[in-house]
Amino acid sequence: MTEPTPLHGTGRSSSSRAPRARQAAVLDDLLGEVARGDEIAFSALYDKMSPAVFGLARRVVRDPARAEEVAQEVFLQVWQNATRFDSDRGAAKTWILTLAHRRAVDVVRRDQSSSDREQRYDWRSGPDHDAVAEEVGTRLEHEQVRRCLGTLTDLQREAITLAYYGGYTYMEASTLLEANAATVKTRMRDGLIRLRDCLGVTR
Amino acid sequence: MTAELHTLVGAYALNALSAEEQARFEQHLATCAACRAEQSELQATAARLADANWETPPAGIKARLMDAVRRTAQDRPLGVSPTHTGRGRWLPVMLTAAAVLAIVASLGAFFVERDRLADAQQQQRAVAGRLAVLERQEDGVTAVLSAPDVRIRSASLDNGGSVRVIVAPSLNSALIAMDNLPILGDQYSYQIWQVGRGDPVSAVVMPADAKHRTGTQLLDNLGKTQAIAVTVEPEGGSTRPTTDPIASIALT
Repeated sequence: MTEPTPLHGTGRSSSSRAPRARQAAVLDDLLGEVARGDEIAFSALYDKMSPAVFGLARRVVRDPARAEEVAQEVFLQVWQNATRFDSDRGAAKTWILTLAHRRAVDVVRRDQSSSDREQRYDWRSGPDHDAVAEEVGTRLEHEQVRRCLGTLTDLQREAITLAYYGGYTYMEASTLLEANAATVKTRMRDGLIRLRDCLGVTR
Repeated sequence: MTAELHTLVGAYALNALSAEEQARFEQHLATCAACRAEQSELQATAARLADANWETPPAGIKARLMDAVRRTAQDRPLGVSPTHTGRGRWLPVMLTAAAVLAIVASLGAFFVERDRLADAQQQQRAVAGRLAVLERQEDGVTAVLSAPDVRIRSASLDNGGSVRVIVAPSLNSALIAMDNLPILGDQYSYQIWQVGRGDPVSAVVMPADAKHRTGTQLLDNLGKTQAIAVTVEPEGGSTRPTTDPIASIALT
């Protein structure tokens, strides 16, 4: 992976944000319809969100069969709990991916002793790119995420990717990184803040 | 806000806290509007990390899911309360959803059998007893799934099948959901055992019929059972296990 030049804040350009805002609004609307029991809306929401949910589950739990279970459980949960989603508190996409991440991490923490997981963790830095069905728009998003991860310090990036993709707690990550736990905790926060600014995330 | 707690916001957004720290941080969030604002932004940022990993799921998932959706009621909306934390509302009972999904596939066979028996009842009084048992089981299934302490344990088999145990300690009960077990010859049966301190106790012998490779069984007398084991036994079952279990699932 080539190391992109740090270009802090260029992710905020309106040209890259506008389509994402539209896409986010579509997902929010679909989830609202799902909350009213609309199975067709649920089907459409699944089509739009399942590659992200399944890809995340695969990345975190690795095992394809377990990842399938996670994806099914997450979407069934989306169906059941859509009535309790509050769009004032965040986007539908964030809500769904947060559920997916929690579920995947629960599975990996329950299934594996930490020594197993060390062996199972994919040590390639940064996100996967293979076996991915990409549309042009999503490819741009992938590249933006990769580029912005490249703007972080090594410790920020490693702490964040160990937690998010590896399912490790910050205490476990600090052991793996041979760094002080308080430092790792802080790097997770300031690394995310830098990512937020680079990606132009508003909520 | 205390500075020490507040620095946890990044790890919280990445789901990288221990259960205790997470609970403590959520209490903190409930009382700190500035923290909720930061948490909300960092949560959205963390979710963007999933954008780098798209992968199209196998097609079969959607069909199973749509089937599950048709069988699954939605939760009632919560009342709006200004002190409610976002995350609190976002934290539904995952385990219950998981448990429902785990048994949906195998429960199909259960209801089919119940319906078939209901038809046969008109001609065959002997079936009535079995039907009553199944109806009691249906109540038991509902009770287990809605128990507050329900949890799920599972084992995957080499052939792709699985055995899941949905345990409700408060009801002394568990559901065993078997999915796609290996096909057995006519002369063999699957037998489920409750394993505690002493010898394993037979819970049930599954019918030898190949159709029963998928099924749900309610156990309502767990007692001191520590694990559930499934073995292959001669047709009709054995008084004690005669083969190594194909699955052994600890309940704790």
